[in-house]
Amino acid sequence: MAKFRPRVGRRFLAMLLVIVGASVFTVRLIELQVVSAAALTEEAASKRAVPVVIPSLRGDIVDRNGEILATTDERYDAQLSPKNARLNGGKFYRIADEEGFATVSVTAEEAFAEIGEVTGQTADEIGAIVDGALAADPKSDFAYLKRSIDLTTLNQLKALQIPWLTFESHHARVYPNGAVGGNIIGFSGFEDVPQAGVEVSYDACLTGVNGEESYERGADGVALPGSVVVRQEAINGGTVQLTIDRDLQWETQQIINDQVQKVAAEWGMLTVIDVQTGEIVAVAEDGSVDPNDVDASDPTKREARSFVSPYEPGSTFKMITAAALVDQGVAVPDSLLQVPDSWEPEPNVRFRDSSTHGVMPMTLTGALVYSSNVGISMFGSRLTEQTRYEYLRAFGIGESTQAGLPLEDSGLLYSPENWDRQTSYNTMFGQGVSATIVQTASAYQAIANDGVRVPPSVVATCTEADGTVTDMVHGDPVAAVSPETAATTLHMLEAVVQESWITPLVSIPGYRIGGKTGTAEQTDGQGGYRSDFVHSFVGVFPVEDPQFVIAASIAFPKAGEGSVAALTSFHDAAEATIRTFQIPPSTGSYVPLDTGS
Amino acid sequence: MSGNTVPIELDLDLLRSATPDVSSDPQLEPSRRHLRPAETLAPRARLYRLSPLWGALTAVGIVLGIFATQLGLSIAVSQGAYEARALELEQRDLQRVERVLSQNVNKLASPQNLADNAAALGMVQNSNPATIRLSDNVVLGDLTQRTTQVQANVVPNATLENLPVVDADGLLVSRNFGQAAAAVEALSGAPVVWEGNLPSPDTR
Repeated sequence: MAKFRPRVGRRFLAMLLVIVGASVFTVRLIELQVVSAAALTEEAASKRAVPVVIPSLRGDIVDRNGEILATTDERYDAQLSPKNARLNGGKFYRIADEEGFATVSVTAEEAFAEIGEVTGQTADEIGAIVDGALAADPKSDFAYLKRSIDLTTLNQLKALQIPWLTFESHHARVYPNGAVGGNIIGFSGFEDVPQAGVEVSYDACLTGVNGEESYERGADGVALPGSVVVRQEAINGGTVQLTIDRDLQWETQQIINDQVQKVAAEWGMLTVIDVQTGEIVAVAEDGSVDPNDVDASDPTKREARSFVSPYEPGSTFKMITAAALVDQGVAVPDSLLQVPDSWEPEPNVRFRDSSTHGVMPMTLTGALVYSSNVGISMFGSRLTEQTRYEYLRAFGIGESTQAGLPLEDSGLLYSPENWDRQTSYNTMFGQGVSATIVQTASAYQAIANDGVRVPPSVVATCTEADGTVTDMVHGDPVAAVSPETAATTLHMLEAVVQESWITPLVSIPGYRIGGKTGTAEQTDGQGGYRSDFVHSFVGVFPVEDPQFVIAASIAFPKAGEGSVAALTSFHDAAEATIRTFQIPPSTGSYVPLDTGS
Repeated sequence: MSGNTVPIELDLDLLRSATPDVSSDPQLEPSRRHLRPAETLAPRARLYRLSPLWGALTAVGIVLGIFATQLGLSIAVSQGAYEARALELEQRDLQRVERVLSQNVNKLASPQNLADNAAALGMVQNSNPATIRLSDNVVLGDLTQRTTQVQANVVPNATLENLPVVDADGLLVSRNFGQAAAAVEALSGAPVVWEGNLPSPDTR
């Protein structure tokens, strides 16, 4: 037995060594492949992978028919790598033609010249960009060549096949319809930050959520194909639908620009509201901003002045006083009074009519037809101040509209305890109180809609990227007066159009129109009133079944009749509205009311 | 002998005793060992004698084959990845072109562009609403236009800058030509309000 012991011992030792070595390797293998696998893969990927933000697309703003008013466009930035441009003495190789393999050597200077031809820069300028970047940092890998180039330029630069020239895209806001609705849509400023209008107020709906993806790239910066991993999908912004009609909005802007120019007025506004729904189908201001080119517009005309610039409305508010009288039952259209041309009801309270006349018999209708301040005040003093104030509030005066813009003025209406004696009478004919043109039009919308005021709206819905539609909230309808009162008041408004001097200016054959003019004094900011006026007209048509309210205001004309301009604006806008919404002609005819004289 | 318990070692004693009476005849002389030739093995046992070279070659061949297949698959997959990337890029480029074209359509369809082109063609807007009453074929409203003057577009649109319009002869003309002229005319036409005291003669 002594013969085999050493043989077995050696064998055993060898086996042991092998087993020990194998187990060491196995343990290390398990540790690498199983235990720290995730961490190591992550580390390796992080050295190769480049995270990229997938930008989300900002939502569109569209009109009531889906026409695009604001949308997002792609713009491209061309950037170069200064370090790589000067590598190898600035030489690189380019495939000579499409099919072959032959390459041609191109120097950096030649490349600069080729680029310059496309972008409009000189070769020296481009060389200066490269050298300047390298002077600041010899390892500089990035410098902008030209920002915000369009697709054609991009394709031309790409065709040059220069390896150190790369491109990045970013989004820019575009407004294909220019200044149409520009006051409502708003615009963006630096870095596409929204600054006004619906762009600001509905930013939450329009903004999407960015996504993220990563790709792996080699040492020379080339992306490895198939290595893109989308970590998070981008969610695009939603679409905001407005209530305005693009073509009618253009038409009303055209009309008001024309009229303001004709009479050299300071400003003009024109608003069209749908009676049944309170939707604003057109809201025009003169010189509205073109969101594509904000700097070109007058700085005072960049906001939605129809919503933020209240003014004293004047005689158009006589309608509210008349409606309040009829609703309270203290007067009817035929109630008669003897009206002088000036009145001093209380000490230090005096006012007069715009025309001189002797004491004349005047019905309530006549007070509207002749636009008599004295007449309406004599009737109006049958109501208490509190009652008149409540009617003004019921018609929406003194309360902010919630149409959908970032800022909407409430106008100025003091509560009756704060009315001095003069103001107490002035409010009966629309002085001593201020309102925006939209508020005035909305008061007439109440009368036109059987006494129910539907708060005006300019933004209809927000549609998210996944299809959810949210209706915007604008306030609850308010019953300002009874339907009978509304009908009676409409009758009186029709009498104003039929019986006064304005008939030839506003009449449209086949359509019955009712409305009221207004000539209002405005404060001069120093405690007194200006000597020029804001001329307005608010009309409702067709009277027997009102569909639309149109309000026009022309301010401080220097070279013509402002009231004629306001009436013509109304007339032209009414014709445009009839064409746009295909309103059939009126039925029935006007039953004359007695004006008293 | 004691050799029976060691299987490896050749038991010469056993060999020697080729006669039947091996274990019962211890008197046989150990020196007389008969060697006889071994029988040839059965043919099927030859398989176990195949040269190990062939086995090695087969194994190496299979391993090389596996490597080759793997390499081929990798190449095919990478090639597919490059193709997919190229197609993705093509799709992206086509989408960009489509977006630019649809935005061009949007701006050309804007009311300002239509009005500018209409004005350049000499079209006059007839805004009178008119309807036909079907019961008796009466036209309600006035069909004749009120003006023969072309009204220029006065609502700006910066996206239309540098885009020409088509005039009545079918030629492309600059867009702002008519507008500038109209603006100059309008400015010169509006009367200006007199400011200050009206001049009056001295009277005695």
